[in-house]
Amino acid sequence: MIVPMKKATLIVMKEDKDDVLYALQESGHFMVIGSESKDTEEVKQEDLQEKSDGLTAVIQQNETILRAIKPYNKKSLLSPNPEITYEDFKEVSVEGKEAIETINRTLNTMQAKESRIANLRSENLHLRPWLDLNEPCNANKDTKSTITRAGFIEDAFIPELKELLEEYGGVLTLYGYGEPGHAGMVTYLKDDKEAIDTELKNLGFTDTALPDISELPKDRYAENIRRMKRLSSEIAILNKYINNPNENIEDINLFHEQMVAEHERESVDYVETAETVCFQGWVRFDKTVVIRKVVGKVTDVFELNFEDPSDDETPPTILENHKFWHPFEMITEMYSMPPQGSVDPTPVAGFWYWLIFGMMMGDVGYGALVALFSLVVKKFKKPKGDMLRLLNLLLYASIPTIIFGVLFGSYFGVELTKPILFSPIDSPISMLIFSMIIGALHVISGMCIQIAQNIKDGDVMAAIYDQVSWIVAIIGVGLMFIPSLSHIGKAMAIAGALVVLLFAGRDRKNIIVRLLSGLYSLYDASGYLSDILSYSRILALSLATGVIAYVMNLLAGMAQGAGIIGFVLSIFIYLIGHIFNLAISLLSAYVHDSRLQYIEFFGKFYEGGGIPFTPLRFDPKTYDFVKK
Amino acid sequence: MSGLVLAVMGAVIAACAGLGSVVGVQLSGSAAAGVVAEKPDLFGKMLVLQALPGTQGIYGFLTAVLILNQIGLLGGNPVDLTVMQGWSYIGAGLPIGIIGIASGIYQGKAAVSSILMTGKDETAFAKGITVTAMVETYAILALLASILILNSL
Repeated sequence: MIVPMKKATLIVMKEDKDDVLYALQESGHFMVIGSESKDTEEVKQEDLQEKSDGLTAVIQQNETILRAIKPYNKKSLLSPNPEITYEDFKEVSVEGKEAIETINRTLNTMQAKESRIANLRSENLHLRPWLDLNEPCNANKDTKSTITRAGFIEDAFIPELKELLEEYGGVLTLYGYGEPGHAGMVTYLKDDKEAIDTELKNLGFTDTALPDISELPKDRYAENIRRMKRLSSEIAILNKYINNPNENIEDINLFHEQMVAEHERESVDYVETAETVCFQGWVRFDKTVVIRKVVGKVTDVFELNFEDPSDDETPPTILENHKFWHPFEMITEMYSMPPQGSVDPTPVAGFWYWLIFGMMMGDVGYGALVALFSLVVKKFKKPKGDMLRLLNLLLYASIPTIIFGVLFGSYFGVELTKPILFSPIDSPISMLIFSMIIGALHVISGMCIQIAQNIKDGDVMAAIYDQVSWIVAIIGVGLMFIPSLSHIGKAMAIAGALVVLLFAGRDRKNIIVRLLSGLYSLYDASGYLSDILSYSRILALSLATGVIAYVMNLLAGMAQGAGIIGFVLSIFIYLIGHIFNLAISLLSAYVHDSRLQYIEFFGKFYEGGGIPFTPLRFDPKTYDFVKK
Repeated sequence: MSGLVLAVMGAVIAACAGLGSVVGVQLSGSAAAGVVAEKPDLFGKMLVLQALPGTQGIYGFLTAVLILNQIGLLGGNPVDLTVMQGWSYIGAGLPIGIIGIASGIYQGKAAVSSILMTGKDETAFAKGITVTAMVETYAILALLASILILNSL
């Protein structure tokens, strides 16, 4: 069922704005929408924008840090979220904030130390060729009449360089090797500067500047290595501090959740005047009183109006069904929400999903395992939201799985009891016919919803000519396969086809065009045929489940023949084989059951296109709320 | 006895449908890994989409087991088959064998597209599953053909 919506307009004094928003968020029933009257006043002031940006920065920082410390703060898979009351949530966690800042400081220190190490490493790379130099790096090596140049030269040119210096009377001192070549110092007379400089350039001598330090290169080099070692060990200590379970992890999570909630509040659109602010939004029709009470608790000065949505507005959709169908709303939601004013297909689609899931799995053992799994997780993990719905879906779907398991006589792939219906592996043809009958009923039920919709819209003719005619024809074709009823079946099929032929083109004036259009509509028969054939996937999946289980049992049986080791091995094969098969079968059943709903069933009547109802609310991932 | 050899070849051909799944799952797996590198939260959804082209292998395998079962090899008492009968088993293996390979590869390509779509917009997940599962229809029809042939032997 789709819950009707009321449009709410709430005007409060400016000073109450924050408290009212907090109260609305706590109630979780008010979906704020952008206000339409944009031209009245600037919607958001600059300082508010700044606050929102600041929150975004905090949230990003928190996320980075939480990601960094996540591997060391893993909860056990089955432990539930910690609980918190609404009162405690309101108080921004100081411990969490401090813990986050401490970690952030540590991370920054580590980063600074790492960049220090990188600097030292590159300095040492620079010093390496000059380790044999026996004077301070920055010593002035020029004298009154000589010049000394430090640089690199290729080994191949050294003899030529020596020759040159002999000619002019200079000295070459060679040191170690660096990246650009052989390190060396050339000393020559100032008078020869011009001639030698040109020659040096020709020989590919590249100048280099030694670091500006007053120590010997080798002393500095050793000192740098010592410093790097010390920095590395400091980083290791800091790392150890972060790479450990953090005792404040719950506070950190809480602080993060609070910032996310605050950011939600700050992102709300509203219109303001000098003294007041105005919010517009959607509220479920049955929660208007709650909203009035919530706002009334914060302040006495407010104006709250509810009105029905006008025709040009599209209210959001929230589905509400009986507790049993609640998990199956996921199937509808994944496809598309029904818009307000249309029909919620969940109860019908849910029933078929439930039934077909059972047919695809069809094994008592697997049904029991799935039920056990969901019960255990529900008991220990205490999940909320979508996770809970998924587990309930599995739990409910285990019921038809067990029922069909009994009907097919399959217990972990072993035939413990005689099958009541038949066994899909032994008589696949019976299973195929059964699948197609279920498919025909499924498709027909979809058409029946379209009939109901057409009648509701006052278009009885469309219901009779477009849907009833085809339903009669489909049932007729089905009956033709039963010898004793084949005459009735034939008559029904022909009658249905005739109605389509004569009336499908009823809006055409020209009788020939009308008949041609009817003939064209008869071509839809191929569509219905392929729809119903598509249900053969039920057979395919139930066979896949059954045969793989059978093979696993066969393999385990073979292993059992080989003494004690074989017996142990067979237990492994049973365990791993059946869990593997169960996982694959669950996945396939989930995918193909959904597909049957989406294409074959929804295709007959459902359009979707609604907007989901997303109220302003607390949605913490790491905490569960409890009433105090 | 040569009929029996031919029948075993039929089972081998059917099991070759796994080739399609190998390629398909590899294609979708590479795409899924790329998306997970950017968005680790999507791992569960990516796993579902990646596994979709894997079913052809299962169908081929299950046809192979059905053939082996029917000619009594699994029970250890092989049936005496004529050459003609042996060829019929090859015929039974062919539909899922051939179409399994082709549909596995092409379903893998459809899965890649759906993975990229889901990577951009998480809410498109169900639609991605649906479009990818469309390709599989033909593998299922081929499996059906194989089973129908096998059943009439």
